[in-house]
Amino acid sequence: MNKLTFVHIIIIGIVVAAIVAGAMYWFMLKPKKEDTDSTLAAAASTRDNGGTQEKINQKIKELHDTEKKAAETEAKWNVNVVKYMPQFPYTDKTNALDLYFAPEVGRTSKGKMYGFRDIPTVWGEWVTDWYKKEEKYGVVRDPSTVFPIPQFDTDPNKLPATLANHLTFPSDGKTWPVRLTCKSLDDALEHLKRFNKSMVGHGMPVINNVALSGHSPDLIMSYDLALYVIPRSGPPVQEPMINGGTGAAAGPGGPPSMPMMGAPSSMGAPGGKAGRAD
Amino acid sequence: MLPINLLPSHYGDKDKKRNAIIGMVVLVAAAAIIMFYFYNEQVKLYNAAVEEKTTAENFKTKFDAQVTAINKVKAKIADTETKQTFVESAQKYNDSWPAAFDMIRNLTSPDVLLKNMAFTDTSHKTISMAVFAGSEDIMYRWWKQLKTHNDIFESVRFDFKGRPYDPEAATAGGAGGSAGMLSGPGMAGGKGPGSSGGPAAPMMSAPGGSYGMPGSSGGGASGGDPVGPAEIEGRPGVNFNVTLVLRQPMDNGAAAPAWTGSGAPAAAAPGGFPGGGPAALSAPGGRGKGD
Repeated sequence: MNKLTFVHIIIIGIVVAAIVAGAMYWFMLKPKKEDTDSTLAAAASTRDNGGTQEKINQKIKELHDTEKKAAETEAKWNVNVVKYMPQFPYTDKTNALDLYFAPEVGRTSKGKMYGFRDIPTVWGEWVTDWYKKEEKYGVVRDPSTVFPIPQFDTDPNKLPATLANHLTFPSDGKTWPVRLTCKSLDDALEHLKRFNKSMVGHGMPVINNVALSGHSPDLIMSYDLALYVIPRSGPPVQEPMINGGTGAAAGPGGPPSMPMMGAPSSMGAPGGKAGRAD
Repeated sequence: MLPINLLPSHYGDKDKKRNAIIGMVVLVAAAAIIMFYFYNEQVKLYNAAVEEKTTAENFKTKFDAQVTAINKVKAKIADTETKQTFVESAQKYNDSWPAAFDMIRNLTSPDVLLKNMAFTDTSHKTISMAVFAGSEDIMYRWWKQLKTHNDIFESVRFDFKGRPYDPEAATAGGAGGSAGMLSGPGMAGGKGPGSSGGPAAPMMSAPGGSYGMPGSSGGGASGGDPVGPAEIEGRPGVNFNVTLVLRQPMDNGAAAPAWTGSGAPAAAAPGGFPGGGPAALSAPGGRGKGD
């Protein structure tokens, strides 16, 4: 100690002070600063992702708007479903076999009750009648224009899949080619405008590929038509005790809309009969 | 008087050293205190940051609750919304057809006769028409008139018979009608019955002819309709084709809506019947007169 000079003491003191300061910075101040920075960054990120009152207010408004829009959509759909979609007599608890044969779907314009399996016939006739009514507006269906609809698959257990959430007429991916003679262009255009208004209760009509040719009073209009039914209920349940697989495999649905022996499709179609489970 | 220090040089070193040691201890302590002060300040900043983060997280929790509620409402309405969207787009699509044709009708000169009209592309941007006019002058004036509607049309194209010089036809005359340039309908469409005479060429009357609905391609293509001199109900004139490209496609170019049952509407309508559907143009367009 005695050998240490004044200068040594000063140097040692400064070095020790620097070491103490450096150590405190390195082991205390710097980590805390880093913690602070990361915490601030996390806070900023949280704020950016909605962690502010302002953003909550925006979401509250958005929730109100969404609820309002949902209510409006629901209301519009309730109008459209009644306007365009038919009411079929089944629920998601109805047995497929019962649905195929038993319930009466409704009454035709001629007063005859019809069942589910008669729907292709009823629908085809209804569309034909609709066009007949159009004649009073100066629009006449070409005799070559018909509206065939294939029969439903005669395996009742195929119905749940068919009715899962859609039913298309004439059939999936197909349209009816329609050709009309119109007295004038006005008649033709008014006819097109009537689809949304008066072709109702049998699915949403969609027309496509409209073309005009000729001239009044024999203006020819052609287009494609399809009806899209969105069922109101979930599909019926399958009947576990029947096995239509064998029959259906031979010929799914049989010939389209060709009533065998005068009977409206139903069980007689080749390959379509319901098999037995045992 | 000059002061003289007679003390040895190391006299007083002990005090100096002691003072230096004390000074250095004070220095070290001061350094520690200063650093501790800064550390303390940093701790305060840290605590403020933690508080800030906690506040933000509390807000975020409320925010997330709102988002969840919104998603719940959306999920609840999604199915209905999809169905409703399909119906609305189908209604709009159905209505867009008469609107489009009505617009073209309103822009059509009363002096011309539209023989057929259809969209010829899937995006419903191009309209093709086969037209009859009493003279080339009428055609020219209508073309000029359509050209002025550049807010509606991207392009307006007319295809018509030009005026070639055909020495053979000029000299032959033939059994097939007047061979004079432009003067006779025999020049019709190049493949018309000009020199061969004979009955009217069934320009648009045969099934499967040039005007048909080609499946899903949307409308018939009339681009191939014969052009040239023609006569309708005894009235001479010219046949020509018009191709209009709209600036704004019909229904914004939407494809025909179709409900596929998959929970989402699909553009579909693959329908359309193979060509020749509406073909029959009863109008005696383009008939070449043999004599």
